[in-house]
Amino acid sequence: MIPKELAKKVRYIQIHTNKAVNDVLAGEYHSVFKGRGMEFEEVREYLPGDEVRSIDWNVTARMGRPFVKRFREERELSIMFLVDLSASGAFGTVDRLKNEVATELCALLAFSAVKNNDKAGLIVFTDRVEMFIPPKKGVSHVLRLIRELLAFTPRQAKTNIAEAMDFLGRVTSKQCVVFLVSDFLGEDYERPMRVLSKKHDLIAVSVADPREMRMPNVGLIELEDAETGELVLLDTGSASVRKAYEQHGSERNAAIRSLFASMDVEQIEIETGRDYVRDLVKFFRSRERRQ
Amino acid sequence: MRFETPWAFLLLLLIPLPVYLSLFRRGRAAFQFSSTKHAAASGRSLRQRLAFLPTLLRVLAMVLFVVALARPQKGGERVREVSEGVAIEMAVDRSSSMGAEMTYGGEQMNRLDAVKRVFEEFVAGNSGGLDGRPNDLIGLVSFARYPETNCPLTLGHGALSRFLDSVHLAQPRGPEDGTGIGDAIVLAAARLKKAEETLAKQLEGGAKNYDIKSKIIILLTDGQHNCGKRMPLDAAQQAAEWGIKIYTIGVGGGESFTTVQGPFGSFKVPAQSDLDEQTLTGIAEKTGGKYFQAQDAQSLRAVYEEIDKLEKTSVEAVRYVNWREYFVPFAVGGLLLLVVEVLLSTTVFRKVP
Repeated sequence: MIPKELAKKVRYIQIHTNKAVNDVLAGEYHSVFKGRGMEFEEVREYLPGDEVRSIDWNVTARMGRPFVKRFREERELSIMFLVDLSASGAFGTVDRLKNEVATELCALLAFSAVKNNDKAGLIVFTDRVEMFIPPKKGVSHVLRLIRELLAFTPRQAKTNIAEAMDFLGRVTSKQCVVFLVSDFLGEDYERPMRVLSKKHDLIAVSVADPREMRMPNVGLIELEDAETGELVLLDTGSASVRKAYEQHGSERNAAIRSLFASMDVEQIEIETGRDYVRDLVKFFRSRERRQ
Repeated sequence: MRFETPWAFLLLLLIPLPVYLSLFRRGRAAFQFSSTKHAAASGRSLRQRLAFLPTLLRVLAMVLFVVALARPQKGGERVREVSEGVAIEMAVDRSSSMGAEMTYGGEQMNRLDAVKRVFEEFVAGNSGGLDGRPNDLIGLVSFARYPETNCPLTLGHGALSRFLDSVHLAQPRGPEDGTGIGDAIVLAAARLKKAEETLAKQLEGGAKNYDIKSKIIILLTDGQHNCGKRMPLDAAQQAAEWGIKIYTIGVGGGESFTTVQGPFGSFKVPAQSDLDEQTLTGIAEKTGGKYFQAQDAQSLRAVYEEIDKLEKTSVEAVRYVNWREYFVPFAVGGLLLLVVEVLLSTTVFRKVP
């Protein structure tokens, strides 16, 4: 992408996510990702209606009048985006590629983070970590993040989620919120994921395409695996083949869902061609309810 | 069976290339798909299992085309190229007296039929003393009252026997009956001369190389000249001027019978012989030929054998084999397979993309 085009695209994403950030997700984001601790702010005189619990008895005894302690929620959250840009993401049958949807989703969340004074960082990976941008605050940082994501051309084609998670474990010391955006077509990521989910607030964002679930009847089609280059001939004209294909798809989805559930990792299911903002809102609502 | 250009089979070495391209690697158009794992595990329909069919058909078509390119040939017939020979004009008497019976090869038949038999053997050769005369131009003139050309001078002797069959006896005492020896000689001589001239003309054009080494007439009769415009000796004089040799054969003499079909069954009538040996000898001597007398079929054959020996041609004939091309079925087969391949791959085995 040439810089001008890139700038335009970044601007487009900023404007289009703006509404979602300010209206739809505004309250949701804030309430869902609360700070992890309370920070002491001030001590002031008791006013009727204050909780009796919060009276600071030491100060009250010294001054002879009731005083209450005021705390402030500790924000200062770090949001890390682990984005899978392997070749399997360069696929989409509706109007955007899986990778584009993933990028927009990250942008939206990053803007929400910045609005709430949180830090946002980025790790792009394929079968190795391709890029790492440490978490930082500020709109300009978020814009840079988006630009890097959009302009990024991965050097590898395959996927290794485990490696990326190991890397994250090494570079972060503080607990943070991790959005793992991938199509989860890779394998053997269960163990490191379990480890990561213990320490961090891990949210799995699975990006899928409708054609990965079911095929229309278009006769013989030749498919090439984007990652391995393997060629497969599929007879979509046969009802039994289509059914088997659908079954495989839903089985895989169910397997991923149950895996995440067993690790207590929350999952956002995004599909190309479906409005991901709604999926996000749905996720935030359910998360709020659980807390 | 042989191949004219066997090195075309080297092209077979190229066949694995399209097979490799279409069955295994690149060159196949395909959708980039995120993961083909499910697709691979979704089972194979019959159509999928037969998807190799178009490729197979194409390879077979290519093999057939290569075979066609190699030009399979079969040595069909041997063709002889003749460069020179003798022009022989046969003049046969077909007057009613030729209906007299004689024995030939244990069979009873009339003289004309016996002459036909012997003449055929003379031309085509037999297991006995006759070698056949494949290099000679041979023509046939038959005569009774009037002479007629039954067969022009030709090298294609296969047609001769059919022309011989068209020679029939003249009706006894009919309007055609008679013996016009003089006219027959003139017609035969004119035919020979004409043939030579035509050949000479063709030679200038370089169309075909054929030299008439000598021209002969074999005159066969059983009677004496009794009609026609020209006298036999005058005609012989003319033939001699044109450089034509005449062998004369007198058939008959001795006892002979004619079978007559009457209202009360068939009976034999002694045939009178009025062979004019003097004239026939004269004709032969005038033209440098020879007179033979043939009383029966056996001696007739001996006469032909003698003529055969006298007119021996020692010709170096160029023989070559006419190879017949058999590439057509291969080419057509290949084309058909290709058509079927195209039909299949655009209908049943049509692939997207």
